[in-house]
Amino acid sequence: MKFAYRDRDTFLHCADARAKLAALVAVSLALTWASALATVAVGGAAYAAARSADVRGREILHDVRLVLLILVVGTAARALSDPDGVAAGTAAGAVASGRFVVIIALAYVVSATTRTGDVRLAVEFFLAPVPRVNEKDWGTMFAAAARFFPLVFEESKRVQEARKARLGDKQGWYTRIRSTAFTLLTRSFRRADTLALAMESRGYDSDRSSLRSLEWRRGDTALVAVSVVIAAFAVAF
Amino acid sequence: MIRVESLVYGYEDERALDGVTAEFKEGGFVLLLGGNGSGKTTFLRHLNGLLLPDEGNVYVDGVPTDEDDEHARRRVGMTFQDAASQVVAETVEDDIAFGPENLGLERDEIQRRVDEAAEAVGATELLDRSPYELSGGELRRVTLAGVLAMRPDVLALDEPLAGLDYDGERSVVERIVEENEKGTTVVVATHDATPFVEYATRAVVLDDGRVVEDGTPDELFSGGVEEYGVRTPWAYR
Repeated sequence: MKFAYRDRDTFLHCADARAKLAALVAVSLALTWASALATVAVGGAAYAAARSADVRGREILHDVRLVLLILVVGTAARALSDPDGVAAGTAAGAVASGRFVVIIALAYVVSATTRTGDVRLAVEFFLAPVPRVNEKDWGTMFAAAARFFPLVFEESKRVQEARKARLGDKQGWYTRIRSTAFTLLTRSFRRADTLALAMESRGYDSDRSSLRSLEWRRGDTALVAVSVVIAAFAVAF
Repeated sequence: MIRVESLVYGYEDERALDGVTAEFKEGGFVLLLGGNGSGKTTFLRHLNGLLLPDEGNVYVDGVPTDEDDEHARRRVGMTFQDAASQVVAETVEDDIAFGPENLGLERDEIQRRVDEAAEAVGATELLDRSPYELSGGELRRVTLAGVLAMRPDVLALDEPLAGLDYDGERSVVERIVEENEKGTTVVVATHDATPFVEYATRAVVLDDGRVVEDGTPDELFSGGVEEYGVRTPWAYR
């Protein structure tokens, strides 16, 4: 399932969710200042992280192909509307899209290696010192979002299969996208409703205990340190 | 244990339940029968406190659900007709732990309950698996474990055999009967009583949101219930 946790025994799977979230935030923020060269270099690091977590680069590209399509359209729009000309617009659009792709790849790796329950605990940890913020509610919100994301992809796959089964793929692209989007939207709302019901039926309470606990190890410190170095590199170059 | 008095509930302008009165005593094995749209699912959701009455009352241990629906969720464990929609976590272990976590139990106690519930339904080998990789029968047993881990007094099961083959059916029925023999009250909503009829102590038939028959399986099935969309078990044909 896309953007979903997969049970493995790699370094990143065993790493503390706090370290992974901190690394993701640090590198993502740094990427907003990164040059083209630095973006490519960070992309290489993201690819290495994915491979080390038993996630294939091709798999990520395949799963986010719709986002890639949107980025290509965005780059084209930028190229055509840039006052400095098509070449400058294309270059700027490509760099911006590249940054997005790297951030999405990193988020993919984090979601493939982190259980949503651990995401909840990590968010609670980071938000606990913030005054007037209910960290339990926010933690649950993040975890539910992380849980719901793969379900939407799953629904999308089902809608496409149902359409294909009745030769829906023979229709024009506009009709295909329009009817798939509408069905997907409806099913996603229904799925969200069912997920909420399933949680409620088992007495959901944001102020709950947890089977799991987060455990910070030396490797987590190393992960954060490496991420900070990568982030500094991205900003500096 | 559960008393339902003149329960009325509607979806928009359509009445799904129209003055239902029933009582479920400790340790009973009750079949809630009826065709599609008869109100079975809506009725079960009231027992678990997921839905609250528009009119009338539902009491769980004497506590009205509209005053304390959390009490109902703790005491009445409910499984959904679509087992996949009941899954809230990425691994079987995390999913079974969800209920005990909501009870605010200590980590050791959560782990103990997860292990016990998994063992009770024969799912110990499945704990590290993704619920989405399981067969229909395995998934049914896992959703049952998710409810058993909360140690409810009542099991409210909505079409627990839907979509299962013979082996899957037999395995789920055995687990349900075992729980009933341990003293848990069982309420099974189904349109086909055959797999349960030898264990049931009572059967209630719903039609168009009303109770139309209520008695022992012998009393009910010797008279025939097919006019209400319920298949007569083989033993009574």
